[in-house]
Amino acid sequence: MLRRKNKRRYLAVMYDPNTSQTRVKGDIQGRFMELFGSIAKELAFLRAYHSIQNGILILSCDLEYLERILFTIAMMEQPMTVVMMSGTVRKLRERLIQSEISLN
Amino acid sequence: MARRLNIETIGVKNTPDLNSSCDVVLRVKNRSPMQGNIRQLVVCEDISGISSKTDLLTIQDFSRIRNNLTKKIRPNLGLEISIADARRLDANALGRWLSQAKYVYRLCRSTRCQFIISSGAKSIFGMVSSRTFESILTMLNISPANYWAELSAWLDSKDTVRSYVC
Repeated sequence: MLRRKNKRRYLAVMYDPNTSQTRVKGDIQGRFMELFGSIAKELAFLRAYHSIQNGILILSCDLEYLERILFTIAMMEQPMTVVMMSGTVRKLRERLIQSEISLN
Repeated sequence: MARRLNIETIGVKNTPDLNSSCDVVLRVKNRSPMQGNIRQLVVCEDISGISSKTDLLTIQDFSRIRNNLTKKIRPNLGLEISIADARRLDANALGRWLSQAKYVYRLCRSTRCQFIISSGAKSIFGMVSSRTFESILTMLNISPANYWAELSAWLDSKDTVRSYVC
C-alpha cells in the first residue's frame, strides 16, 4: 500500500508584538473553527513553531487548507498579516533571517 | 513593507511626507494639481456625494445603500470594499459580507464598474499580502489573474494627472 504524507505549508505571521504568541495562535484556531468548523480545524492540522523574531509566529497547515487559513488570518479581529510562506520550516526560518523581519 | 507583501502599488491618504519605494496612489477628496506626478483617486464614502469627478466609492454599510447603488453608479467608477470592515464581524455577519461582496462584483460586471477589494489598513499589521488577496478572491469565486489585470487597466485609465502636469 502506498503511504504518502500530506504536503504542508509554513507561514510567517506578523502580529502586534505586545500580544503573546500563545494568544495569537489560540485566536487564529478559534476564528478558523468559527468560520469553517471543528472538522476542518482538525483536518487542517494547524501547528505553531518557535520563532526567534519578535512579533512573528510560524504556523503550519495542510496544503489543502491553505486558502482557508490565509482567509482566516486576513479576517482576524486583531490585525495580523502573512509576510512569508514556504514548503519547509527550515527554509522559512532562513528566509526570515535573511529578510530581517523583526519588530524590535 | 508593501514590497515584502508583494504589493506594487498602494493607495494612501494624502500625507505631507511621502517617501515610499513603491508606486503610490493618493486617495483624495478633491483632486489637486499640487502633487506633481503622483496619481490621485477622488474617493467618496457617501453614495449621495458621488459626482462626475468621483473615481472611487467606498462601500461601508452595504444594506443601507443597496437600493440606491444601481441608480447612482456609472461606468468606470470603482466600487471598493474593505477587509478592515470584515475583520470586526462574527462568522454569520462575515458570511453575509461575502455574499454582499459577490453581489457588488456581479453588479460591477454588469455596469462596467471596477470591483476593488482593499485592506483598509491603519497599521502595518493590517496590511494584506497579494497572496492573501488572492485567497479572498478565490473565496469569492473571482479569478485572481483577471482581477489584477482589470485593476491595473482601470488604474492606468485613471492616470490623468500625469498627462496634464507634464
